[in-house]
Amino acid sequence: MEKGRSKTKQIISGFFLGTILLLAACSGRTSLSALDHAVEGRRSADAVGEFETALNASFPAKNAFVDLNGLFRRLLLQREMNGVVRLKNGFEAELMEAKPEEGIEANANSIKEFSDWLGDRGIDMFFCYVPTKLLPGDDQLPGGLADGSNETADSFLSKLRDRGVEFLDLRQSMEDDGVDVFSLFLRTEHHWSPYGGFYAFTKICSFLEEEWGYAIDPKTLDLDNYYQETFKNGSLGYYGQRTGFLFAGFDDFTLIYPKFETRQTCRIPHKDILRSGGFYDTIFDMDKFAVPWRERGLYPSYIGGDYPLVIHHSETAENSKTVMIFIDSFGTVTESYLTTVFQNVVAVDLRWVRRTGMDQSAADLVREFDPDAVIVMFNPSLLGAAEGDQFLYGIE
Amino acid sequence: MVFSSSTFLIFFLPAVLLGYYLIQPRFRNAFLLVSSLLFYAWGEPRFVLVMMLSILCNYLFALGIHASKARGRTQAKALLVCAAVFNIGILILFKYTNFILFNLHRFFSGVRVTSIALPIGISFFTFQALSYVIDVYRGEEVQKNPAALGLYISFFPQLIAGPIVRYNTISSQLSHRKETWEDFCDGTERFLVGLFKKILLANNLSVLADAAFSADMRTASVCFVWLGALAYAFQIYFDFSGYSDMAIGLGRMFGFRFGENFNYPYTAGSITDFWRRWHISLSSWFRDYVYIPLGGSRVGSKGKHIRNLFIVWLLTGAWHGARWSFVLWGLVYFVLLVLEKYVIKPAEFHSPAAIAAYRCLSLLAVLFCWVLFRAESFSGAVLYMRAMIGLTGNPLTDQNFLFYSREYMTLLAAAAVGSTPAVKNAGAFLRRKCGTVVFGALKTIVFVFLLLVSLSYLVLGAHNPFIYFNF
Repeated sequence: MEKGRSKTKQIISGFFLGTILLLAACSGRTSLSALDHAVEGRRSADAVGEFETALNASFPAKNAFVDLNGLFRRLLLQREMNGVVRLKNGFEAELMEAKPEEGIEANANSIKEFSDWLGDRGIDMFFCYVPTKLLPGDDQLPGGLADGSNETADSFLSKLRDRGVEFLDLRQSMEDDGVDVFSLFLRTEHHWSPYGGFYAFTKICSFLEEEWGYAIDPKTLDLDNYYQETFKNGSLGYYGQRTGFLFAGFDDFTLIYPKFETRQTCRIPHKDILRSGGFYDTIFDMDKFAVPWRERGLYPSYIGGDYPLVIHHSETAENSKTVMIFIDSFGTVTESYLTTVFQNVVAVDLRWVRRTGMDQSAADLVREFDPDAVIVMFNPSLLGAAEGDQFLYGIE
Repeated sequence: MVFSSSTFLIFFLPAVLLGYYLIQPRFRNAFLLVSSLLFYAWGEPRFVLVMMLSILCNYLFALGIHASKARGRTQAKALLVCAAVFNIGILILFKYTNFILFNLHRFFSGVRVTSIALPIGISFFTFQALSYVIDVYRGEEVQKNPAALGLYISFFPQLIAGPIVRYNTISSQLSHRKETWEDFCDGTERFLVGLFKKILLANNLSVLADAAFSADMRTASVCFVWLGALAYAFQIYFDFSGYSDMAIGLGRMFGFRFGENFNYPYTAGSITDFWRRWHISLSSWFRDYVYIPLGGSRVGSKGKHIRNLFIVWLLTGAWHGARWSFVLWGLVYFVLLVLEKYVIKPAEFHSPAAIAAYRCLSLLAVLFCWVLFRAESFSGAVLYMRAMIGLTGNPLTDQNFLFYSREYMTLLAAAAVGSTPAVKNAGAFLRRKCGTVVFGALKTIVFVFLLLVSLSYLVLGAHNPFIYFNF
């Protein structure tokens, strides 16, 4: 019996030794460069922390360890991991606290100013609120947790209402239509799915048609006129990569593209990209499908990701108006489907305008493209900071 | 550098193990000494000078005491006093000066408040060094090799969080130890048990404990603060005992055998029993170097005995940190122990119900004492305790309790079981039932799985608090 016990200990020791030596060997070069970088010009206490962080960031087989940790959390029946919450229905979400009133007030004022400025130039504008997957009255949140996104949204939209700014609250649309919000969102990230982006597109078009009398080709709003190519378990989104697929699962991801004829271009000046052809060839960045499965989040396959400026021109769209849409990452899907309706769609992500050093403000871009309509759409995480990029329009 | 970090596990430890076993045996002590000094210098390089000064001075003091004893005890005693003043002086300088001056400043505004940084582990290595000098005075063989003494004082496994190793425990091991593969394997297993305790239990429960102790006590529910107190009791046990396991395991990997530091303290039947099981190396240090020299319990008068207990527990509290709440924590235990000894006398209980009830009461007292220990201040501790009994106008339950109790119920259950011999007993039972081979396979799978999971927590940069910064 002693021999057996001894053998067990030897195997365990051997495994432990082998593991740390293997990790040491794999991390060797990284450790030394991390040490150099961390020590360079830093106090010793910071250097120690920096070194540890660098070592963890370059840990061999890091994703496998993240996945294992996710599995362990599931075994512990935990619902929170790495800042991500697993809802009762298995969807992942990140909770936010309600944003400060002063910040929301400032945001509403900025939108109002922009709306007035556009109005002076004869340009229609409305705000489209992009919801999170946690709608009011949601019962999927584990007990004891609270999310402030709806409180933030309600406060912001009421301030817009007080200021006479038109808006479209997609939460209300979903409630009116009896839509299950989770059918429109991805499981493993904060974004909506292409179905969600398409739904938003149809609601925006309805608004444009009903409120401003825009001519909208009805075939473009009917999902039956689109191919729906689904990649089963094909996508592991931002949250999923943080928690691992054993905690999060995978998303099916569906590319939705027109059955009807399309001929268009998509220009991304920042990256010097020009795509032309049908909707499929111009809108989708199929390189995203070549990413290894563990890092493959397919949401950026629409357009290719977030860019400061994307200029679409369609020869087959029936409406000759120019629509300019100020978006965050949620807008890329919606912007894509607007190209089936409008001949000119200009999408601007103000977060990236500043980050990429583009020397143009929102006002400059409006002057350059002279849109007929402006849509501002983003999700509540961008609210609350008075000096947030989405609210700096460069209006003198 | 902490044991439960990537830096230690995949950078320092492999390098030291490889270096140690590749070099010739006669250089191994020196190698360990250098490694230990590097280990200590990793976080704050300047404080390694304090340690080296401590090593040098205690080396000289001990040599002096040894040489003087032949000439008479008076000179030896004088040197002993100097050594005590030196070691305690270092401790007071780095650990208590800020506290002393801050409190004096309250009464005498002219007194300047200082902000002297505390070298990590100073409480441990000064006590070790002092115990060496005292033991030499008492007849222990002096260590003439400064490197060997340096290694004893600075050996990295027990340097920053104990256990406090007595010199006579390892004096022969410094020169005559034999490293065997079997010992190495025993050490590895012990180290891993400690690693699991620290990363999987202590670190995770610290999230719950921190949430509770940072909550607003006017609104935090009764259940939530109790949950937080419980979580902290488990956190500190698994953190400290886990660290001790890792230290003992690491020592074994290099051929050293250290004494045990914990013996399932939460299974204690009384406060006295608790302190026989908790941080054994510290309580035995105070017993051997303070309590017994003062006369211990054999002083002939109740008053003197109580005085001796008072001194020991005052010092025990102060040793844990330069804060009134720590001193008070020690004195609360003094009161409880005196009550036990002279009033309650649980050793004389016969009825199982009374024994069980007293066991529960003792654990309850320990839990409240941990609140005093953990809180940022005495007033904070009192507020927390009032919240525990609903005296702050707080509700019975709240959303925090709902969330955290569900989120941590498995870990709390594991912690409760793990703080008893149940796991060990279950292992023995399974081995008997399944046979050594099957049990061995199961055990291997569990250890491998838990090791990889522990590493995954490091990779995620998960919460990894170091709670010995006061020491």
